[in-house]
Amino acid sequence: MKSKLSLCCKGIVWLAMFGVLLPLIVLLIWCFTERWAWPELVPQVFSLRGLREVLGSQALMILHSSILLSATAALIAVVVGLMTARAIVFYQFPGQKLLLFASMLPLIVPTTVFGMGIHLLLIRVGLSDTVPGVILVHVICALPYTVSIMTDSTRAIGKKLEEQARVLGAGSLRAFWSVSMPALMPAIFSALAMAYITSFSQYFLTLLIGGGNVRTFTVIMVPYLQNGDRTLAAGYTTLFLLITVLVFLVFRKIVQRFYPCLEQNRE
Amino acid sequence: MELQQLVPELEIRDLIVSMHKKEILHKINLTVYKGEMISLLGPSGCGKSTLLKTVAGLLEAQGGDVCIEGSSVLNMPTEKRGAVIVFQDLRLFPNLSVEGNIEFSLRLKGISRSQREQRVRELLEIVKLPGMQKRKINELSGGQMQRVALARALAAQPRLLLLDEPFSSLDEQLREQMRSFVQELHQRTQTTIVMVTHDREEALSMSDRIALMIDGQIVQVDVPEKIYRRPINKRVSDYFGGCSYLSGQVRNGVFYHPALQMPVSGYADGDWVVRILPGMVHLCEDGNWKVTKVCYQGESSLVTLQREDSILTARVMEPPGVGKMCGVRVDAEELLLLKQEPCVHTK
Repeated sequence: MKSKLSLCCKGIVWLAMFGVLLPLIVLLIWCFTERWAWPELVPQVFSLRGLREVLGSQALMILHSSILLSATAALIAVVVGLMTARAIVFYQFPGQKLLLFASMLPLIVPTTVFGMGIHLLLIRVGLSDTVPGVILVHVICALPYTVSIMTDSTRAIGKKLEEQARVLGAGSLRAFWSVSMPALMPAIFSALAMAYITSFSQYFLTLLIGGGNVRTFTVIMVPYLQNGDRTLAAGYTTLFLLITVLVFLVFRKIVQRFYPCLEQNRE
Repeated sequence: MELQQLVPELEIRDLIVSMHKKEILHKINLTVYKGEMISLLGPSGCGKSTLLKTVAGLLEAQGGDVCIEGSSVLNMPTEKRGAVIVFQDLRLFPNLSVEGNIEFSLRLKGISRSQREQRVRELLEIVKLPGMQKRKINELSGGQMQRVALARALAAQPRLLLLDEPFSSLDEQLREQMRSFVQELHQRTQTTIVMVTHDREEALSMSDRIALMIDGQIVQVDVPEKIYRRPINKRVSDYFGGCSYLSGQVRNGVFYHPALQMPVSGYADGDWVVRILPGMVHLCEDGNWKVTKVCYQGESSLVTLQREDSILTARVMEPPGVGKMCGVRVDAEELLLLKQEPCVHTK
């Protein structure tokens, strides 16, 4: 009975992995395919046209600034999320629940509605068509994820360890940095990853707020996806995925460099 | 142990602490002397841990004052007060090794690495965990974690060491060992210790003095023997339990009860309750007290006797059988009269 259950569980895991990997494999094949008509299982014509066009396009030229913009937005979103989480978990003040609800609004309010509204505001304050304006909008979109992740983890960790550090002679900031931060690192990493991907994949808001002056990888990529060329679309998508995975690995390395206990605790 | 010339280390004056608009501590007054080990004893929820946290600076006071070595600390941040708490759940830092935990306060002071290593080695010797610097916290047993927590607290060189129910999560055998260990540590380091406990035996056996807290107030502060044998009122007596009460009247210097009459001095005429400890009651052959219960407790037994509405408890080596009729003799010199309250029999 146990072995049947184990076999069933393994089967489900393999099925799930297959469900995730199969589309990626198909995507990779399309990068080198010129023609693959239904219902053929194997492409009829292979070529390197897609790769040549992607690697030679202007999308690569703005890659580093795109990554920098999204990384900045992710970092700000995590810092704001962490501070909001600490306020919600450790303090009592009027409007606390409203604050928590408000942090989720970017998920509830349709992007176009939000975009139109904030565009007007940013025009008034002179942040429209600027990089800071785009970063601000990306931060707002990422906040629901960072606030909810950091609130849950802050609540789980509590402030007991910080209290202990305080009585041992650490100031409040030192206590947080020395004992709470290491415990929060896995959650910070998750929040950073979610915020980064939210920012990096933003198209409509970047186009609207950036006004064409702020060009990110996604803004350059989407028109190519929309022109119906599957080879090009696959190439850009694969590049998008690769960049995202690389950035995640860099984040992880940075975290491990300062907090080696992250890996030890997993063991 | 000797109190160092009765120099006050901690003075709490009219301290009031409220939480969620409810007053938890009501005008607490307490003086702890340098080198003393004092227990804050009381039932769960009476405010003992709240008092400890307020002294350490983790909670704000709404009134009164807390002075350490003569200076008020109420406006001083937690990290500067020199009052280190060892919490019930120990709160060892999981991301640091044993060495990292112990040297935490030393690093804050900017002490050099070699000195920190030396001090950690010394402290591990004191707490009888030599060579365990590199061990991870999750590899330690309960007793070992307790000792690392104590070593970490001592490394901070506290003016006051505050122990918040340090042994409640340990099994009986380990608790005995740790009690002896803490007493030994106290004698060796002469640190002023305030220990919160709800365990009466623990407080009686370990402390220089006991401060009994009930419902957010300190009811009596005294040496263990006095607080046990001469409770200031029936509430204190009830907390220690294990005694019997006989309700009667004092008239012209004599206490009258159907089963007991004895001369008393210093008590006004009126209704009084006499408190009788089990050790004061001796059984005789003939009498009209009926044995209703015998509770075996190892070396001795607790025998419950009843006569009409009166109940007495006696501690005897060789208990009679249940249902037997006995006579009773009480050591009158040790008896204590308390003000009349509903007659209760406590276990």
